[in-house]
Amino acid sequence: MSASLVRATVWAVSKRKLQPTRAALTLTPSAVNKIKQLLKDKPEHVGLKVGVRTRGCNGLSYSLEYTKTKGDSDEEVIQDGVRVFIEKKAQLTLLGTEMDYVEDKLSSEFVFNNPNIKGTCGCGESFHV
Amino acid sequence: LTAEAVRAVIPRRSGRLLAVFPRLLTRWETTSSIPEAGEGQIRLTDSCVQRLLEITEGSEFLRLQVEGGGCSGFQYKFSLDTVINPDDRVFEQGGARVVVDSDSLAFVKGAQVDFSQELIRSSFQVLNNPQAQQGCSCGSSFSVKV
Repeated sequence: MSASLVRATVWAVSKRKLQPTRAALTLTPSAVNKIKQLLKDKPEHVGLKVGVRTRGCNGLSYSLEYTKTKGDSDEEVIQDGVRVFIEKKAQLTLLGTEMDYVEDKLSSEFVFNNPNIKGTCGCGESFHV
Repeated sequence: LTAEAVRAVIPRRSGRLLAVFPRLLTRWETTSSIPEAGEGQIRLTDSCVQRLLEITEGSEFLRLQVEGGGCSGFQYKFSLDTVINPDDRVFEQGGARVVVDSDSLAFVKGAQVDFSQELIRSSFQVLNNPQAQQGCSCGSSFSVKV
């Protein structure tokens, strides 16, 4: 009984410890560089804001826009000198995600490598959790 | 598991394309006697022309293909190519070329090829496709009017 209590307590503590150390969003070097490049010509904007909207055949799709201010319920990620704000609705699905920027001749895009996603549509833009 | 890996794993439904295609080919052959007007062409937007002039080298051109797959049944595929095959059609505008094989042309004739630039993504797109009934909202996939 007392042994089982001790085990349960340790579990809860370690679980709680794990949660805060999980970054809301991490950026790859190429994403950081691209964001710096985008913001260089827009001094009035402090960063980019990630949102999520109902769209696409699999339910949800991320959106990205310039922003001048941090919204009241936005979560702020600062990495290597760039700021990314995450809208409240997007925060849950983005937890633990890596934001990358992939470029080739035909196209270039921000890509979210999201461990929470259960499925995406064939072209990868919309997803469900 | 990245979105790209997921994309790679999702199987192509080429069987569906094969199943649907003969009927469409028949229809196309029936109407082929009608003189080709603008309806049979593919138009390039200014931004498409500009982007192609930037990225192509030598005799490179943009190849547009339609393949089975995506959530609406068919999807557009772009690539850079240098070889023109006997059944290819070449659409040139302002020095930029887009090439479509005759099978794919049946699915995109009358459409526009654009290069769209948004904050989250810049890429070639097919716009205003009269052969497409509906598409998913990201524009990659479409289903065919019958």
